Amino acid sequence: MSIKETLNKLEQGTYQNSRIIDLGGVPFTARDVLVKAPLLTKLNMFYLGDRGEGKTQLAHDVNSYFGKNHCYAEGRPDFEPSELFRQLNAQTLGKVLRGEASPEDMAQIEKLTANVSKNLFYIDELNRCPPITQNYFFNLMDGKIVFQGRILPLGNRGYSVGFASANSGNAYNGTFEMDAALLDRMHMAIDITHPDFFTTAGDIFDIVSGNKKDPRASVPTASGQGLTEGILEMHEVFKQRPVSPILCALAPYFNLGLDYAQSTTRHSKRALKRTWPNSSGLKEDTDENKIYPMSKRAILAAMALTSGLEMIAETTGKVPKERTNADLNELEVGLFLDALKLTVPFSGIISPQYIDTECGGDAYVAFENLLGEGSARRSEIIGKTPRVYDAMLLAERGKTNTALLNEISTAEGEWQPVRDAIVHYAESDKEDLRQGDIVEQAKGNPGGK
Amino acid sequence: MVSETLGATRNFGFTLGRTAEGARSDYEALEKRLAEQEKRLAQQSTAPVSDPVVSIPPIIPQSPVTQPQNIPILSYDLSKANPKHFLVLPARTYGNYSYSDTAVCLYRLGKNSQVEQVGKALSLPYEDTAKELTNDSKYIGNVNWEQGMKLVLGLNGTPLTTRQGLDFLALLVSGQAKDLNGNLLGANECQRVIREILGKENPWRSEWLDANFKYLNSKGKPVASNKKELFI
Repeated sequence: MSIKETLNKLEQGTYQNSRIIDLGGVPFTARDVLVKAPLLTKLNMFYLGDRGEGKTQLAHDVNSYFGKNHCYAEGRPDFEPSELFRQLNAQTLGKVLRGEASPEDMAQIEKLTANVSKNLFYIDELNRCPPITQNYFFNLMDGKIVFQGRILPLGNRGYSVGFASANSGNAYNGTFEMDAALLDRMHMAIDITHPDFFTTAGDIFDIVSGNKKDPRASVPTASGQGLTEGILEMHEVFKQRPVSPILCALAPYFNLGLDYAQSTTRHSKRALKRTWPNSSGLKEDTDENKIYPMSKRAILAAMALTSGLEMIAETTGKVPKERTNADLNELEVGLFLDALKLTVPFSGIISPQYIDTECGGDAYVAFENLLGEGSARRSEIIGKTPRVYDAMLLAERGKTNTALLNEISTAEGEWQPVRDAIVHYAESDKEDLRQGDIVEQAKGNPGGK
Repeated sequence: MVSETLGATRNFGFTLGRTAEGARSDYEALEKRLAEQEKRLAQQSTAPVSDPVVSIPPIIPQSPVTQPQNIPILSYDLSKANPKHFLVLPARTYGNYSYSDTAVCLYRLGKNSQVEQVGKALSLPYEDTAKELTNDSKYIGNVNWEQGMKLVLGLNGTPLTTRQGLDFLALLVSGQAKDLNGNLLGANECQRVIREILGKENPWRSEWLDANFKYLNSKGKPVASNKKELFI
């Protein structure tokens, strides 16, 4: 099955949403963003939204794409993911009960279930698990389990992806706050009821005027393998995609650069630990007390997502024609910054106080203010992109130019890490970095270059 | 080893429609641009010092610079200060507003015994927390507007108003700025100060002036400066 055929088939399903989502000036369908991009890139996805607006339906669609290769669970206070993967070995248990078990038998009293080789793990209503239970999901979302002291990968052919959904706003009885470390592992998090992603009036008309009379979400109908083979093949191609030089150079800005706090003792927000964003040394007339540095995992995830969206745009003919490399670099950086909208708002890097007191509790408004279209930070990043590209052109050939680097940064501050990274690259002999390495690192798996 | 071939890529292929040919021509154009830039800089370094700014037309009419006498200064004891570190901002009148000749320091204020004294009186521990971009001069960088104003007033100085701030920059651009000895400031020194104040640099920097603005929403409530709808 070709990539285009797989992408076309992923456009089909019971969940209906014909919203066009503009990212970096490229028009994507809702399914491009909500379904295809995470499946193509193998990034974990977290759907948020009000009740009754299609999260479970979307979940059933995604599960059906994997046929029998999915594992579905519902979040509840006493849920523990390992119960999906372990079961008692009845034969060994019989021996134990009869007093016939050897020490070797005793070690085999527990065995793994077939679920460990599934490709998709879906947790519905994730925030019905209390924070202590949410901790058990870390490994699941990292694509591994610990069994009898060994770390085992989940999935088969190296593919396992975690999807989850939750009611947004934690405003419902029986729901809990989301653990920050778990949110960071949910590489993408989208409120599907936010106006930018919500179903259109036409969709609602079609839904209520169609054959569907039962308000319950339709259950998955696909059986067998579903589209598993096509999805895995598509991901294999994605893994071979080259990594963007511009995004590699900009990555330190979002990790070390955003950490810079001009007037604090160590010029570091991380060094402030729990006192951020309330520390007295932070500037209040900038966004120092509003945005925290992104984790490396979050940056890797955003880079992979950008590349996945680029691949979808290329396959579906949405990349603007007859553009120069410089234009396309700008498009890519714009796409990356917009892709952050799919990763950042619920990741915990925006100050909750800022979201609540200055943005009316809307995480997307906070994101737009800080990194969205028209924000000072975005303008600065887009403005520096041509110089970063120039510097990387030289660095690829092992060269640097001081005047050019000075245009990126002349002194310590947010852009100094970008300058340092470019110089580092010019002096290194690093070669052949691919998206597969990026995704594995985002999943916390060793082996990436 | 690093390839010297034009357009060669060690790690990166070409996605999103970018091409090797495009990268090759971009690289060639870049090399050419950088070579021209270096040549231009080399020429500038041998040109007379005042050349870079004399071509900039004066923004304000020039008035004769009077010998500085009893003028309010942005420093502590003028007699102990280096006269080359100060610029004379000539007196100006704008309708009902006027100011007298003012000595303006060309460096940001750093910590010293008088600053410490004022800080003690104000219970504000002023410290050198930053360094100027264009020289090694350290300055007090961790103060907010109010703390900065209090410090200058405490030192018997006068914070520049927005009008004075504008005139100060215009004077630097005009090439007519003189120090306390009455000597013209060199073009390099003028450009240094301009870059220090106006340059888009990292770390982010700015100057406190004697004016306070707040961003308000339609209900008069203070809001963040990056809000889309605001009233100043």
